Amino acid sequence: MKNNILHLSSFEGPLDLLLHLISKNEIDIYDIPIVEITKQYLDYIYSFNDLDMEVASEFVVMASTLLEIKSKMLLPVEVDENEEEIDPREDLVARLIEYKAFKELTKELKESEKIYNSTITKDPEYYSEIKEEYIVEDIDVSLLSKALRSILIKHKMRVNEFSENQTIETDTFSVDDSILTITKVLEKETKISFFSLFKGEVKKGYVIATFLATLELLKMNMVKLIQNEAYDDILLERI
Amino acid sequence: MSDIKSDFINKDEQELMNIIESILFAVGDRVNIKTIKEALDISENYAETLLKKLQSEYDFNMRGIKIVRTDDTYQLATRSEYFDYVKKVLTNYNTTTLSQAALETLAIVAYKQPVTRLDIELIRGVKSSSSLDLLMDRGLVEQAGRMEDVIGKPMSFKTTKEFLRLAGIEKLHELPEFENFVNDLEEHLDEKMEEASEQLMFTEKINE
Repeated sequence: MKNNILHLSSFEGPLDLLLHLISKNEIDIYDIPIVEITKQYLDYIYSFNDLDMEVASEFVVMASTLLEIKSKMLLPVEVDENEEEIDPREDLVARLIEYKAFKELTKELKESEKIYNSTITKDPEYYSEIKEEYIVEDIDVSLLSKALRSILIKHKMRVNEFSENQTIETDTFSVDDSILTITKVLEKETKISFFSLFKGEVKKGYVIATFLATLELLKMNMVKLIQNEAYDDILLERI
Repeated sequence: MSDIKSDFINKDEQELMNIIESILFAVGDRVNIKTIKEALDISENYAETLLKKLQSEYDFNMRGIKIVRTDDTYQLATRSEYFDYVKKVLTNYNTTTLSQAALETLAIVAYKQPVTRLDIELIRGVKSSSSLDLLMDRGLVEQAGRMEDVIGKPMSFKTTKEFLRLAGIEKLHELPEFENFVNDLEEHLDEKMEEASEQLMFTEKINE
């Protein structure tokens, strides 16, 4: 093969290469001149410069299959149980025909893929989960309060804590605010005690926010934390 | 023309079709006919009739949107004929076509399903796991459980509803007969035989 410009990668596999040789030589697929085809097939394999074994191994397997068939053709003809002559090429021919059919089908798929790719559908529309059974309409607040009372009584809980019109304050403590508070103190002093940040009655949320703020400052490499033993006061030292 | 048409359609029927249209739009994704049937409280057959009517109405008017049926689901989709224009607006839309290897693998899965990776590789004569992975990523192929009666219980694969849409069919059995593609080959051979006999007759004539 002198003017062989094809590469191994031009073929999907050994069967593809064989089909190429068969069509090129205008061979009847049911009567493959195995000697000639094997020769051409091997010529191809040898001529590939890019004989990457990862890719080529499959081609080599086919080469050995061809050689096996070739040698079988030289031996006296075998017969099967029905006294019919066994053609050593039979299996290969069946594979080639099946593969060729799939190759033809691929052409059809390619055509329909074109239409498929130019048809646009929507992704599933996203709707936030609103469970209808939780939506209660027309509630009488006093009825709700009564219901609550009865539940509380049932569970022997104190009722008088809940009056009908009680405002529950929302405490908003942000970590950012706490960071600001701490950094302000640290502008003046090099060290502060964690405990000293809380004076008088403090809410749990405030303590949590402050603690998160100290962790955040540590992460930002702005303070050093010193604690002598567990549950002891924490010293924040400016870096 | 359209007046005459609407006369033929029962008003309630038109309304039901409108509702179906709304549902298809709202969901976006494929909608199972059972969902539609339940939402409208009608029989499945009637739902199918209505969907078909709606579908042909869309087609008849060459609307920009069509209703694609795959198996027992329906979905709104743009009409491929207008893609060249739609493409201009969708700047980030790129379609990557499947490679020859992936298409071959897809064809094999379509016709041999449920099929194992090894079976695919035997037919193609090459490793096919990366093609298979790609097809699964694209939602064209999915796992179909393990083959209990095969040694090692290998995983088998089948095509998805998305594949039906790619193949442009509604149901799997609408795939062209595999035999047709094999027969093609035989026809080709028959032609060759004819050619050969003509050749023979020709040479005989010359000999005369």
